[in-house]
Parts: sequence; C-alpha cells; structure tokens
Amino acid sequence: MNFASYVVLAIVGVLFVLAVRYVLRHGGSDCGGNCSSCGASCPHRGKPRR
Amino acid sequence: MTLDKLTIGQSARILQVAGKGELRHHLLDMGLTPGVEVTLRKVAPMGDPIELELRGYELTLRLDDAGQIEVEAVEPTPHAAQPAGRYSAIAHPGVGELGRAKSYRANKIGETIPKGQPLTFALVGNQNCGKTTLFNQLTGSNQHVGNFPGVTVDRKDGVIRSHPEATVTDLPGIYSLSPYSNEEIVTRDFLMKTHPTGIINIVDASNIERNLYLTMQLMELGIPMVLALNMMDEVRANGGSVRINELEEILGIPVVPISAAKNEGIDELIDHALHVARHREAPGRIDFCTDNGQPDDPVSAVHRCIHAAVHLLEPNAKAAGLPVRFACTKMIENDPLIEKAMELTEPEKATLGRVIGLMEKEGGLDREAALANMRFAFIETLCAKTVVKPQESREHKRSVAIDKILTGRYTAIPCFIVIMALVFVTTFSLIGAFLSDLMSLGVEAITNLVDQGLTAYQINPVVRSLVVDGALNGVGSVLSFLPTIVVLFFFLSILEDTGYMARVAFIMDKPLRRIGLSGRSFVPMLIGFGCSVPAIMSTRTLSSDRDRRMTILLTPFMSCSAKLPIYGLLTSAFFAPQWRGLVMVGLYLLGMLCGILYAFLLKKTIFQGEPVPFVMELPNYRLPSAKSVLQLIWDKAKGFIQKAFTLIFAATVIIWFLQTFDTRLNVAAAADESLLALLGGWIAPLFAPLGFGDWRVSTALITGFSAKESVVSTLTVLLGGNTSLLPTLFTPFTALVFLVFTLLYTPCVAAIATVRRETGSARAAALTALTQCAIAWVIAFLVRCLGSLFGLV
Repeated sequence: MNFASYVVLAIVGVLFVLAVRYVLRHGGSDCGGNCSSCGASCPHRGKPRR
Repeated sequence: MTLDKLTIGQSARILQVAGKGELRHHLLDMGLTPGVEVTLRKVAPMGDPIELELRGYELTLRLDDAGQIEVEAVEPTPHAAQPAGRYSAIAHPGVGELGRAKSYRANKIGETIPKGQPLTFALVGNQNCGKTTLFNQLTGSNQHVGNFPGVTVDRKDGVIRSHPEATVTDLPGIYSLSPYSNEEIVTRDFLMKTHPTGIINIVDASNIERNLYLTMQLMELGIPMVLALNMMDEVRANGGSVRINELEEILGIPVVPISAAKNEGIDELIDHALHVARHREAPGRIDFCTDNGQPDDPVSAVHRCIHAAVHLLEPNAKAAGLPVRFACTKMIENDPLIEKAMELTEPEKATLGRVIGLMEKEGGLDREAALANMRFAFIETLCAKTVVKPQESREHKRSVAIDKILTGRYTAIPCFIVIMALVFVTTFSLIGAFLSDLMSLGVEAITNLVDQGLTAYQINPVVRSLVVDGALNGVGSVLSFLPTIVVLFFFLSILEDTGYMARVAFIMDKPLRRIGLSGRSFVPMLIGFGCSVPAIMSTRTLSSDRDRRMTILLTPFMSCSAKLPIYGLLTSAFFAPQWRGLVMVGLYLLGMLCGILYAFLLKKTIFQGEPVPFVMELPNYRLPSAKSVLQLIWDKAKGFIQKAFTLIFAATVIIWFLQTFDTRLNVAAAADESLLALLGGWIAPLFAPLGFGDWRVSTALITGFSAKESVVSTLTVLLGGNTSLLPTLFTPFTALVFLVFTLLYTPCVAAIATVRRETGSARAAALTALTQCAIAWVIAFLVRCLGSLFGLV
C-alpha cells in the first residue's frame, strides 16, 4: 500500500469512529422531523435552547 | 330527552350530566354543565360521533356518551353583540407594571428576586390556542405547530429572547388541572413540584369562555401569573373586542393582548411576566364565588363549602406544601392525588364529607358539577362585563363551508381516499420520483469522480473498494431517496397544520371503534407512514393506557418512509413504470389490512374492553404556516442526512468489512467465502420457503434492523455496486414476496427502543420485534402460495 492509501484508510477510519460515536450518543433515533413529539429522546431536552 | 336524540341544527339546554369518572369530569371541564345551551352542528358520515356547538366553540362527542346527558329542547339563543357606547372605560389598573398598581404589592409572596438571577416560567394553555407559536416567539427557537389537539405531547424548554436569565417551559395543552390525563398530571406536577417563578397563561381570545376555565384554576395556585390573550387580531377583524382594563381589574393579573402568529404584543408580555415573577406578585384574586344569600343557589352553596373546607384543611395543605385554595377545591372535586397528599384523618374526612353533602343538597348539584358550574358562572359574568363577542368569524364560516364537503355524509370518505391517493401518487410517482432520479444522477456523478481520483492516485484496490463500493455506493443509494421522503413529510405536515387531521379522527372514530380503538388513534398511525418513532411517541396523547399500547402495536403495520428506498429499488428493478405506483399503494393497503386483522385479534384477546371516550375540539381550518412547514421539511432532511452519514455509513463500512474478508481476515477470494456469507448463510434457510434463500438477501434483512434504509445499501454493496444484478437474487414475483416481508417485519432498532421506552417493558419491545417477524414470514408465505396457485412462481 502506498502512502496515499494509508491516508485514505485513516480518513475513513476516523469518519467511522466519529459515526459510531454519534450513533452511540444519540441512539440512532430519527425523530422524523416532528419535534413536538420527540421530547423524550431529544438530546436537547431539559436544556435551554439558544 | 337525551343529547343523542337531537337533530342537526336543533338546540337544547343541559339538565343533567350522568355517568361518572374521567369522562364525566372531562365533559364538565369542557363546559357541558347543567344550564348551558348546546346546538347539534354535524354528524360524522357514519352516524357517530356528533359535533356540538357550545360556549362559542365546537366539541365532538360519541352518541353513547351524549346519551348520558339529559337535555330539554329550546329555541336557539341568537348571538347578539353588545351595543356600543353603553359603558364607561376605566383607567388601566397597571397590574404587573413598575410604579403602578401599588395595591397589588399586597399580594407579594416573597422577596424581590434581584436582576440577573434565574427566572423560570411555565407556558400553560388549552390545546390549539397558539401556545407553541408563542413559545417560538418568546424563545426564537422553532417548533412544529400542529393543528390537531394533542400534537405537543411533552414539555420543551427555551430561553426568552434578550433575557438569558429567563427560561420558559412549554407544557402540554390541557383544559383543566384535573388528575385524569397524563398531560394534566405532567402540568400539575411541574407547577407544584418545580415551583416556577411565574406562569404565562395563553388564552385563545376567540374562544375565551372555555379557555378561562383553566385560568381560574391556575390562579388558585397563587403563583405570579400573566394572561396572554392570543389571536386578538382575529377577534378584532370579526368585530369583537375585550375590555382589557376591566378584565385586569377583575382578575388581578396582568392581561396582555397578543397575536403570537404576527409577533404582536410579545415584548409587552415578556415585560409583564418578568415583572410579576421578579417582584413575586401573586394573582390579586383566587376567590371566584360569592354568597348571594339565596339558600338554594348552587354558586352560593359552593362558596360556603369552599370556605368551610379552607378553614378545615389549611394545616393539611400547608403541611403537604400545596396551595391552600387549590388543594381545597380539588378535595371537593374528589381528586384522588390531592387526597393522598393531604393525609386527612378519619374525623377530617367525615367533616369534609358532611360539608360537601350539605353543598350538594343545597345547590342540587353533585360536587364535580357544582365546582364546574361555579367556575363557568364566574366566567359568564366576567365575559358579560368584558367581552364584546365577535360575529361569526370568517375563519369559522370558511371551516363550516369546507366541512360540508370534507366531513359530509357521502363525501367525507371519498374525499379522504382522494386526498391520501393524491399524496401518495405525487410522492411516489410524480414529484418525489423525479427528484429522486435527479438525486441518483448526482450521487452517481460524485461516486465516479471519486473513483477516478482514487485510481489516479493509485490507491490500493481494497481501500478503493472500501470507499467506492462500501461507503459511497452504500450511503449514496440511501441518499437518493431523500426527496421522496421529504415530499411525503411535506404533505403529512400540511394535512396536520391545516386542521384536516382532526377531521380525519372525527370521521374515522366509528370504524376504528370496530377494531377496539378511538378516532384519536388514527393520527399516530398516520404519522407512522412518515416514521414509527414519533408515531409511537405521539400515542402519549391517548389518555387510556389500553388504547396507547394497542396503537403502539399497530403502528409498525403502517409502512414508514424508511422502507421507501426498499420499495423504490425493487419496483424500479422488476416492474414497468405504469405498475410501480400501484405496487406501492398495494403494499401500503396490505399493511393497513394486516393491521386491521391484527387489531381484531388483539381486541378479542389481550385488549378486551372499550376504547377511550372521544371528546375532542375541532379547530377552524387554517392556512399552514409556510415557515413551520419548511422548518419541518428542513428538520426531516437534516435528520435523514445525519442518519445517512452516521448510522448508514457505519453500517455500510461494517457490511463491507464482513463482505470483503474471510474468517482468517484475508481478502475473500469469492463473495460466498466472506464472514458475511457465513452469518447470512446461517439464517438464509429460513427464507428459502419464501423464494429468496440467498445469503445476501438474509444479510440485507439483518442490517435492516439497524435502519430500514440499510437493506438497500447492503444489497447494493453485496452486488458490487451494480443493482442491475438484482434479478440474480429475485424473480419479479419473489421480489414482490420480499417487499411484503419487508413491509411487515420488525421495525428498526430506534422504533423498538421507543416501544421499550413508551411501554416501560423490554419484554414488550422484544415481543413486538419477534411478532412482526413472524407475521411477516406467514403473510409473505401466503402470498407465495397464492402465486404458486396462479403459476406466478
């Protein structure tokens, strides 16, 4: 593998880790855009929105 | 006679409201009290429920429940506006203003809170009074505004604009502080346990009588409070008005006319709210009844009873940390939660019982009806002094005209079918499909560009395969369906915002009762066509636990938008263009049919019993707010893109890894030697009887558990990015069988997690997943058998 291949692999790896981290934090739940009914799973619930 | 015997247009006066429990209490809270005049306006197309006009607004009621209300026929009282020039204006009392209304300083309940210290407000009001619109204006944040009662099911918090120290919490829309529905209990608990520094009570000025019922109960809490009279622009436009000074003088709280939709009066409202909260100025009045000396006057009887109860129960209320007046009126109303908190001794219970018995005997009304009657009597007197009733509003006339067609006896169902057919055809075959094709072209162009770039830089073939075949093809195949999903959500949002969803619930109540549910359950199921997660969560609007659980179990049968990519992929691969729309609609109808059959089964087995009473307000039709709809579409698109670049991306990379490497972590020589083939191969035999026993198909179905869109990305990756190879996995008929299976099998992990959260039972969630898989397998097998009979296999 050449250097460029390692760079590309590293980028994909970092993106993968970030994606998994996001999913674990947010539960992978899609609120469906209906904000009025997603209070229980919304990460902003209980925190003042600015 | 009883209320169910009225004919359309006929008026009657209520004599007695029979029955007991939650329904009766709710009917009284909504204004159906002895002495009030009601008029039958409409009957649902299937004969039930009915729509009544009372106290200036419309209410739906089932015939069975209307049969509990005894009435006498009367001639309708004409609406007459008060003649102008008959009253003398009074000076503005200046409640809630610095330097004025010094008399209200006597109502201070604590030391002034220094500037800069945190202030918390509760935003409370009826459903459909513009509460969420006001919340948006107060905080500058954006929330979806639905016109169907009960869309807002949970509280939301925000910071008041330009006042970082002030937080406002948007509580669920309620009609009363009684202890029956989850929304009422959530609001009460918030007000009494979190002790907000102030209440902003929003009232629909065009429906002021019914709205003030809640206001009176809020005032009894003794929390600093301001009244926001919303929709004043509509009242004025229809020739009505409200004498603000007199209203403020009588109530003893600041009254601020606003129009939340037009951002009028909001700054003044904020100023008054901050003032009363900071200076701890409690409402100037908490006593709404008087004794006129008449021994058999129901209001006087209530007055004597409440004051006797206050003397008796004040120590208990203080010990329980409850506002005294509020606790006493709730004790008289037989509120079980307050009773438990007050911890009365037996002698105290006996004394209170005698006091209440005396009130009932003197006034001729039972305890609940007596309190409701007292409140509405005060409201009627208050409105006679301060409200100039508008003529029938333009909005109402328009709604009546539109309802003649959309809820007409012979036109309602055809209109509903046409509207929903238009929505689906436009989404799947016209606009949505066109935009999706454009999106696919764009994704393909980007993929080719990246592929060329990677080749030019001589990137390792395995790494190149990861990027192109794995990430780009996988995520890209899902992204191309974004326009279709957005278009679907756009239409569902329009239907909700205009008020049509409420009519749908009204029309569908009778058929839904046949499967053991009420019309209210229809909206969560309709939302389920968008996404199961908010659909399951919106079942919180159903006050009956039984109805909630049953609706949750039926929601997965409403094919969610995440399955659209699967349908789109297979219908475009195996069916001619003229048949694709039909196949899609057929899938949706099959899902609903299976849901109905499952509901019948549930009704006969684990969910025996009657559905929740159907008492609901039908709001006027409104033009949807473009801002609100566009915000919803943006939220949905953003959520979908986030999901594509996180969950789908992660799943795609994992799939690619499992597909590329074998058990010794070497690059697999052939696809069927890979780790994925091994896993998929274990369960593939389960699907052989259905006609798609290939390991790639079973693997795709497994990944569909994480997100339904993953089925498409997985199949794409496993076919080496070339979906034209789908005929190697399916025939046209087995593709149809596969579509039936994906229609019905387990919802995604997010939906299952939501089921677990909403039911409080991991077992229920697991059973839901397994049951759906079993049903999907059986129905798909039946379809295959049918196909065999007709020689299609």
